Parts: sequence; structure tokens; C-alpha cells
Amino acid sequence: MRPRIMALPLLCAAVSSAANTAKPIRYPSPDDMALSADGSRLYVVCGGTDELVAIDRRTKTIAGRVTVGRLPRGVTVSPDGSRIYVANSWSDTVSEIDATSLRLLRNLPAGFEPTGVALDGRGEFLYAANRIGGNISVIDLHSATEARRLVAGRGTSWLTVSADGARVYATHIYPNPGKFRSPPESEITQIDTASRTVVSRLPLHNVAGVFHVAISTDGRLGIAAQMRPKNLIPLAHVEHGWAFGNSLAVFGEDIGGIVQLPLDAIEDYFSLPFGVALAPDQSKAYVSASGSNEVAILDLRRLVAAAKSRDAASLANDLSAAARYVIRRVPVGRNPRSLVLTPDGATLYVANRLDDSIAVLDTARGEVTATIPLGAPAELTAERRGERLFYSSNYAFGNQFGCANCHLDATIDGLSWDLEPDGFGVDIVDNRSLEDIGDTAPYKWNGGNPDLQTECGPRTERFFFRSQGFRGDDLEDLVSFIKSIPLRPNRFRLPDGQLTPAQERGQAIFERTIRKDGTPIPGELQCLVCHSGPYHTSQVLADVGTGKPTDRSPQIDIPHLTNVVYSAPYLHDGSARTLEEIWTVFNPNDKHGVTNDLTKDELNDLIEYLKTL
Amino acid sequence: MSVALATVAAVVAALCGRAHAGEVPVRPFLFTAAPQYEPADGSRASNRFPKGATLILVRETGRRPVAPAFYASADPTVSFDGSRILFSGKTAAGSPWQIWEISAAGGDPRQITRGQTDCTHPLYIPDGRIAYTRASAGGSDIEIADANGASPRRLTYAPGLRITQDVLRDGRILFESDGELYTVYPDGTGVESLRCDHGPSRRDARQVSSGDVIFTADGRLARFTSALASQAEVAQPEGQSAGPIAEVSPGAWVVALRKPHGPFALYLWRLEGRRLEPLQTLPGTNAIQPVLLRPRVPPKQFPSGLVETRTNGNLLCLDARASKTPFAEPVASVQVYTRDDAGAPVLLGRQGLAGDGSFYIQVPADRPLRMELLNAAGRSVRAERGWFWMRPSEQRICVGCHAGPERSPENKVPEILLRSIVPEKLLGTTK
Repeated sequence: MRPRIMALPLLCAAVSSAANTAKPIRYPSPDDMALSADGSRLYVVCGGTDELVAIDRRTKTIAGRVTVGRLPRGVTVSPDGSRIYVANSWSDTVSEIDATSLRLLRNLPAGFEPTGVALDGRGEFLYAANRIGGNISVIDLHSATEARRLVAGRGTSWLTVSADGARVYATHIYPNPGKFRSPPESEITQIDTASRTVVSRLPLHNVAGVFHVAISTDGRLGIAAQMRPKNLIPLAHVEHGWAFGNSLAVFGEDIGGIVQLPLDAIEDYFSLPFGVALAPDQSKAYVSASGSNEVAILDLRRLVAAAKSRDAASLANDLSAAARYVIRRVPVGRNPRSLVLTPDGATLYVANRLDDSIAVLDTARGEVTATIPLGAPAELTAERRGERLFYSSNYAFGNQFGCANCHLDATIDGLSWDLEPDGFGVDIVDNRSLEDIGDTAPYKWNGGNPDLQTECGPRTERFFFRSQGFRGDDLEDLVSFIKSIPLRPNRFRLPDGQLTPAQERGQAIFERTIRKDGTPIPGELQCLVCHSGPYHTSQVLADVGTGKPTDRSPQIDIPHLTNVVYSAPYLHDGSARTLEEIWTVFNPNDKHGVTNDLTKDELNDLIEYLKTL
Repeated sequence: MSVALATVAAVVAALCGRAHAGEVPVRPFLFTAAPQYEPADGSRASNRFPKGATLILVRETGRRPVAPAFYASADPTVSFDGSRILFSGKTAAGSPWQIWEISAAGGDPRQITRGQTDCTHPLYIPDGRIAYTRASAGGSDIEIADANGASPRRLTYAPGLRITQDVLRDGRILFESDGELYTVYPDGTGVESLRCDHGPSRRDARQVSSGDVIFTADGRLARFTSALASQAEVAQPEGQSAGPIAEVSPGAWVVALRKPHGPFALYLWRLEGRRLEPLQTLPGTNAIQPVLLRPRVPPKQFPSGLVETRTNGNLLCLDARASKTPFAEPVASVQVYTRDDAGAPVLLGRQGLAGDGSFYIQVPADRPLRMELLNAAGRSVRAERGWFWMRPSEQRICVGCHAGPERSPENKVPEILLRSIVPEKLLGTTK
């Protein structure tokens, strides 16, 4: 095997702008939460500081901390309360922690980017939702090995176990691969914990981005927070829910199927719904809006009545429907994520991720009565200010969406959009990755924006937000954050920097200058010419024959290929569902590099190499 | 000074100092004093105040006319920083209404608009410009101009009265036309009704901090709230209301109210507890149009993408058959009219609907437009009664021809765009 040169990945999003040599400023960034078995403690996963924090509920103070793996995102507690499990999304492990001593006991292996965790009723098998893997690791806690891996939705991220421990429900952040320009399809994957198999996949039509799911104590009702993107319709304006439908999927025996119900109001959108909690007496439901910074309190009986009403099927697109069941919308901190309700239903905890605090919401009064700080640094860096802007929906018309609605968790959404302002159905564009893009100008698929200030400033407010957007210092802060978005760990590179034989063969194809018949490949048709440099782009436009009749120009910005394996679909319009389709479907004349003399196995090798970039 | 103004001034002087507002800080505030005022006559500038009107500033220390040298003054609005006041003023009985600006601290008013047509109902726009209503031969239009009145631009292009009301916090201009409330962006694009519930005659609207739009509907206060597609009730005192109201706090408004046979007076209305406290009572004179003189949160600015050198706009409808009221027979095509200078309709063209009911057309900009839906035989199934318009280069899209603002689109590629991404030109011969 040969060594290869790897671009140095940025390791932390929260790097201070003060000096490269300064110690990075890290913010706790609370995400998922769980209550201890006796209810005395609240466990909070802090993705920014790689910690699990235990909060004493009575004193509302921090009772302890324990360092876990990189970028932890999910937490659960064993049925007997003795163990805490934390999903370390960048370490591909789950940490097992002693609940009494808060001591790390062991790290369990999981798949690629474990994000959510759940336990079966007996505490024997641990389920970990692997976002990049699109699957669920079933981990035998006795042997500390992965017993099996279950296929779930693309970007599998969050798990909820039913009260009796018999079922695990999984949701996923990206839509499943589908036909070009077809409605996005998602699912709620239901797992039987006795057989440890998938027993159903509840279809969510026209849904992309499904977040937390909650199950009623009797197991007859489930609610998932979700988004209904309007990516197939020209984004000519934002009013009337033209960009996103922030909504719920309501399902289970109480419903008799799946019904999608909106959370938005006509001029006041409930942006990026994330956390869900159900009152034990099934009187109320709670949903956090991680973009518009609020928690909705819903009358659960009225919600069920709406879901079972005759006009239920038409309610998903009715912006006046939420008045039937939303009782109140309570302002909370920035980017509220997970919700945890106490067993008596009296207190709701809200993880204010970008305020580094936990809001304590008195459910009887319907208001926040206390805020628990998690010890954030006093200094607020430009990157952190920009991150707050990135996740905020306060800049779009009616607070309908923010950057993070399309760039979910600062990544992609797996969708193609009709964004072009000058005509309808023109220039369909794939949503591009934001990882480590600071030096990859120009931006936009037609290369029209020379820098991120142009991309995120006037263009965004005029053609996306349709409202006053990021300007001045805000714009600079936002750009600072975007430039700090790091590359996620690449799981396909060997730890020692070597290449596997297949990757080596793929590299040779990528770098070849002659065809298999010995004839030379013109420079502009060699992979390495256009996809050159540290980001594998020459940062110019090229016509590689992938333009469509609906494109105004066949000249396309040559994209960076770093972590390209994670960013399907491909090509400027997202018409290629896989890397292979780039050549087998969309390169009939070898204009996008010479590939038609390659065998299936050779294309597989090429893909294996691209996965390492 | 005119007789009417002298009368008002005398009444004001006599009553100076007696306004109790409890713990809610109402003062300083502005209002219009008018010996004669009927809300039903309030739209057309020339009809509103047949015996004149005087804009009054009320402070803790007393009250005074804002522009004492004027024959008439009305329609106050306050700059976002609370330092300046825009108002409509007539310097003499025979002169037209114009927009004026004066410092809240006093001094000489500065004329903003000019010309021989009435300009009324001014609004501050968050980008620093102003909007107002300018009378026209066919009614009135909304204009927007620089802060000094320079570069006036017309925003509305349809016959009838259009009266500026407020700037919503999302940046849209709220206006009233023919007893209904509409919104338009500050570049004239996106005109549409705020709700589509066909309620009673509405006027004198203002948005409050909750986001609700409070207005009068047949003499009673009512509201549009974000959660509902139809007009909602407002807790209010007995009597006839004349809008707009002024929000003192989320729980207290200044309202203009009159009992039978009396003039309108200003009251502080506390919604919680439903308590009514007199604020300004002028015997024989109406006290209306309350505005608080204090800073307020500016609405959002609107970033226009218009290319004003273009002459047409594009209109995409996702499903012409999507309507809150069912059609009597199947719809097969749409045709679009403008009207000539004499008011006669002029056909611009027709397009057949795609299978999913979508159509995509190009129409002339800055002209009155009206659509009519036809059956397969070309007979009218339904025709719009009102007119709308599109601005140069405007890219407009709608769910259906009568779907209502509460209807969000289903995520689906419109069939008409699968046929062609080039709109069918329905331009007639109109220049």
C-alpha cells in the first residue's frame, strides 16, 4: 500500500478567531437529555465539550461531569438506572458510564456516526442509530459486540423505545434515495426488541428531515417532528409555507394510520421542529422549534381528533389547522433541541443548545420558570455568534426557515431545489455540503458568487429569505461560522493513511492519463486535472455534458470532493443518486472524464478511492 | 386660522390636562381632532374631514396642535426612533392634502410630497423611505418615495381606492381597498388579500405586537390573527369604534369610541378586566387616529429583486381548480384581461390548463389584470371581479385561483413546467 496525502481536517467548529495558537474556545452545546431512574438527576449530552453533564434537579446545579467521545449526541439510561449510555458520533462508539460515580466504564463499538441510543426493556441490547451508515447497530451489552446491524432510513439519527420496551422507533434526518424530482420519502422504522428485527417501515410521504419521536405510555400513539420541504416548486416567495411545512407525523393504533399535521400559522412559522414529549396522562404534547426558538404546547386529545377528522388528509397544507390543537407557543432559548418531561408531567426541560443552558418549563403555568447554565465561556466568538445566526429562522419571512433547515446540522438535506429567481423550473440545484468550504470559491453551482459574503448576504435575503437577512457584522459572523464547519471524520481512510488495494486501484484510475487501449486522455478529460488541489477542485467552471435543457448554461462549477461520499445525490442538479450513476447514466459521451472503457469492478474501485477523499 | 381649526383649538385648550391613563404610560401621544367625521366617508381624502381636522400632541405637560398654521392636519405616524412625525396636511381650504414631516420636539413642518393631487395616510418604511396614498382619477394609488419626497414610485396599478394602513412587521405594506385588507411588498410585488374570508367591510387597520392586525369591521373592532384564516372577535367596549387603535401595551389599547349621537372620544381600553378609561373627550368634536409618540421596533426591510427595465412578469398557478368554493363545471383554460384607459376590458390571451390544473403565463407589467376561468367549450366558469397587477420581472406563483392565504402548496413539480419552462405570452397588443 502507498501512503497518500490527506487534507488536514478541521477538528473543531468552535475555534476562536483570536489566534490560531490560542486554545479553542468550546461551548457545551447541550443536545440530548435523559432523566435518571430515580428522577433526581437530568443527564445532558454536551456535544461541544465532549461531555455528559449531570444536573441535580432539586438544586438546579451541575452535580458532575464526565468526558466521553467526540461530538456526543445521544443519551439513554438503563432500566435499573445504574448505567448511562452516550452515543459519540465522531468516535463511532457508545460510552457506558456508571451512573453513581459518573465514571466511564467502557466504549462500545457502533457504526458510522452513532447519534441516538436506546435500550430494550431488559437492558440487554443497546440500539445505536448510525447517521452516516443509515442503519442501526444492535449491541449485545453482555459481550460488548455489535450483534447485528439493521437497515433504516438515510441519516438514521434518533431512537425512542416504547414504555414496555417492546418496540424501538427510529427516524432519519435525510430522505431516502428516490427518483430525480420526485417527492421526498422518509420512514419511521419500527423494531421489535424481542426478535431484534425491523417489523415495519411507516412511510412519510413528502417528508425530508424527521427528528425526535415520542410514544405514549400505552404505546398506542406516536408523534414525530418532521419537515415537509417544498423543493419541487419554484421558490418564488416564502409566504403561505412555500419553503417548508413544519409539522408532525401522528401515528399508531389511536390514529389507525399516519397523518401529517402542521405546526405553522399563516404568518408565524414554527421553524425546524425537533424535540417531542408526551404527558404521561396523554393530555398534552410538547414540541420544540429549534429554528424559531420556542416550545409548542399541544392539546393531545384535540390533536388526535384532528388526525382522525374527515378532512385530516388535507390538513398537512392548511396553515390554519394548528389552531385546532396548539394551545400556546412559549419562547425559550436559542436552538432548543431535546425535551424531557418529568414522570409527573409537571416540568419540561428544554436543551437550549446555542445558549448553553437548560430551560425549566412549568407545564401548569406554561412558561419558563428557571434556566440552568451549563458553564459556557464568557467570550462569544465570531464563530459562535455566526452559529447562532445559522440556526436562527428569524431572518426569513415569517420566521419560516433558516440556513439550518436546508443544511441540517450544518450538513445537507439530500434534496434538489428550484431556487432560481429568474424563471420557473430553471436551474434545478443540488444542496451542497458546507464542510471545509472556506477556500473553495467560487460558490453556487454556476460559480456566480465569488465569496461567502455574496452567497450568504444579498443573494440569500433576496431570493431565499425574502426578508431582511444577514448584513454587516452579522454577515461576517455567519461567514466565520461557515468557514469553521469542519470535515466530518472520513471512515473510509485507514488509520495509518494507507490505501486498501481497491482504493489504490481506484486512485490509479482517478490519476490515469491514458485509456485502457493505450490512447492518451486529453487533459480536460482526466479526473485529476479538474478535480485537483487540496479540495479536489480546480475552482473553475466546466461543461462536462451534465447540463440539462432546463439549465441556462452547461458551464458548471467544479465541486470539491472532500467527503463526497456523504453528500448524495450528485451532480449540480442532484440527478445522480449515487456516485456510480455519474458515469453509468450521465456520462454517455465521456465528457465528464473518460469512464466508458471501465468495467463495473473498475468503477467500484474508483468509488472506493473517492470515498477516501 | 380657519373657523373649524379655531373651534378645535378652543376645545382642546379648554380640556387641556384631563386625561387619566393609570399606570400605563400613554403620553405623549398624538391624535386627530375633527368637528365632523364619519368612518364610512373616511377613505377618499376629499371626503374625510369636511370641517377640517387638527393634529394634536398630548404630553404630560399639556397639549398643542402639531401644525397650528395648517388649515387641516391628520393621519399621524411616528418614526421608528420616535423623533419625527409624518402627517397629512392642507395649508389652505382649497389646497390639496400633502405629506409633511415635523420633529416631535417641534419646529416648522417640512413638505415631503408635492403636486395637485391629494396625498394622505403616510407611513415610514424601514429602509428609510416613506409610503403614502395618492389620489388618482380612478381612486387612489400607493406610492413610495425617498424620505425627502424625491423619486416617487407608484406601487399599485389597478383601478379603485387603495389606502395605506400600516407596515407589517414582516415588511409588507398593509392597505385597504373596497372594504378589504391587502398586503403588498414595498416594491409593488406580491399584492394579495390578507385573508380570504369575505367578511364585513374592513378599514383602519394596524398591527399590534402580538402580530394580530386590529381593524374596524362595520363599526366594531375585529382582528386577523396568524393562526386563523378568518376574522376573529376582539374583546371591546360598547359603542361604535373608529380605527385605528394605538397599542399601549399588549393588554391596553387607545381606542376611538362613540356612543349614539355623540362624537368619537379616546379611551384607554384594558383588555384584561375589560376596563374602559376616558382619555380624550372633546365636546362636539371627534378625537380619532391615536398614535403613541415613542420609539418602536422597525419592521423588517424587504430586499427587492425587481428589474424595473423589464416590461413583463411571469405568473405560475399550481392548480387553477384549487378553490375554497367549488366550481359548477370543470375548468379547462384561463384567460387574462387588462383594461384600456376608458375602463373597457381588453383580452390579453388564453392558456389551456395542464392536467394538474397548472398554468404558466407571461403578462404585461404595471397593468390592471383580471383572470377568467373557462370550460372546455370556452364559456366562463368564473371570473375575478377585482384587478391585480404584476411588476416588471416579478415572478409570481399561487396555489390556486381562490385558495386563500392559509393554503400551502403540495410539494409536486407543476405539470406545466414539465411541458415547458417558457411561459406562454399573454400580452395582447398592450404596450
